[in-house]
Amino acid sequence: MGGNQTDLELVKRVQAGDKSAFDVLVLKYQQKVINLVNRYMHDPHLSMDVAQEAFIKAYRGLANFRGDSAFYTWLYRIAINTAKNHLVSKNRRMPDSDIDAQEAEQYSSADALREFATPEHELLKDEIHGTVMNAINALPEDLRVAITLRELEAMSYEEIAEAMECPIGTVRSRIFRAREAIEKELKPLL
Amino acid sequence: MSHITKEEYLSAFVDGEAGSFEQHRICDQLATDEVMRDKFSSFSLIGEAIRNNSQTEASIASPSFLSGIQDAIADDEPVVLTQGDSTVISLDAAKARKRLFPKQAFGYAAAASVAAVAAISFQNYNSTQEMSQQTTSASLEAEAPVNKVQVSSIISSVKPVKTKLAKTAPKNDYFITASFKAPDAEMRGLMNKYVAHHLQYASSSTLMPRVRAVSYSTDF
Repeated sequence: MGGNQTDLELVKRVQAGDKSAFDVLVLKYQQKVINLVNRYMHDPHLSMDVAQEAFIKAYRGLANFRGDSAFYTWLYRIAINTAKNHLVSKNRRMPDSDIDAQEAEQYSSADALREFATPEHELLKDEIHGTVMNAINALPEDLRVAITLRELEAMSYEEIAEAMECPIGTVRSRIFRAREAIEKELKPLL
Repeated sequence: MSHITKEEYLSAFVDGEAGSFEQHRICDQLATDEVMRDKFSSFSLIGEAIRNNSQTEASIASPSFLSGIQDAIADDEPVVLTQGDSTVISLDAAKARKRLFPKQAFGYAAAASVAAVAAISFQNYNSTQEMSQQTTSASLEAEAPVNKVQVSSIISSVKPVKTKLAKTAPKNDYFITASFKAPDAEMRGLMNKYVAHHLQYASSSTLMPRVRAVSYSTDF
């Protein structure tokens, strides 16, 4: 079972009239959608507005979503179209390098962001980067390996269990404890 | 056996590794529990931060991000599937459906055979039971005939235990504070699947039971 199944469960709930399930989808994808929209808008504040608009469109379009593609692919497509429409309505130039929804998941917007990063953003970026790295480095080895394999290598729990020669339950527990430790350090910044 | 906390299940949920049953429970919990939502948001952000730790400044959504969306859709009617769409299907299921027919036909045939064998066994078992019960009750009646009026008066004097417990139990009793939710069709299916999985270790000489779930706990 992957994240796809989680999304499907949430989508089914929204389609059954449960609005709060959509909140969970927003919480899950808000950072990714904002980053993606940022690639087009080159303005963090405007990106927030456009990303919000994309989520609202997605909610209103969920009645027609049948799961023929993954939810995030569908959502990213909406976000890209919303950003493009916004640029067209403002008579602004499209970005030189276009991306599609399939690539969006792996997309890295670091270069584009450097162009307009404010000193405050730079400071926060450094702080978050430093805090996360310090927290990871301070973790016991088994926790550090488990969270790294999950987040950086995108390995399933089963694959991690095989790699670390331990039960899946242990992997789940290690990843959770790693996240708790990192969150504890990160919380004052949020 | 170690107890798994709801936060640990939430962490697995973020990774899509919680399992169908827990996934259902976590979704219920997230619908009402603000603390769990914050944790969910933090866990998602940590993932983003680890993967893109050089560009996290733009990925931090302000707290008003979600509330802005909530306000915008507050007046919208809840989403209802358009006609003809029974439910969302997974991509794997969509692919599998194309090659389902021969398997389905074979499956129905196998299920019908199993049902026929089960029905015959059940009938045989019942008739044996009835015979032995008749024999036993006949011998009991012969030994000590029961006065029917006496029995009915005993039965009427027995009070239902459940009512008494509900009245006398303290307010902070687990059974009163625990929250339960009536299962929908999907949850009933999940519970049946759960029982079926566990039956592989049970005796194969009995008929497979079926869960008739009245409610399930949303507490962890």
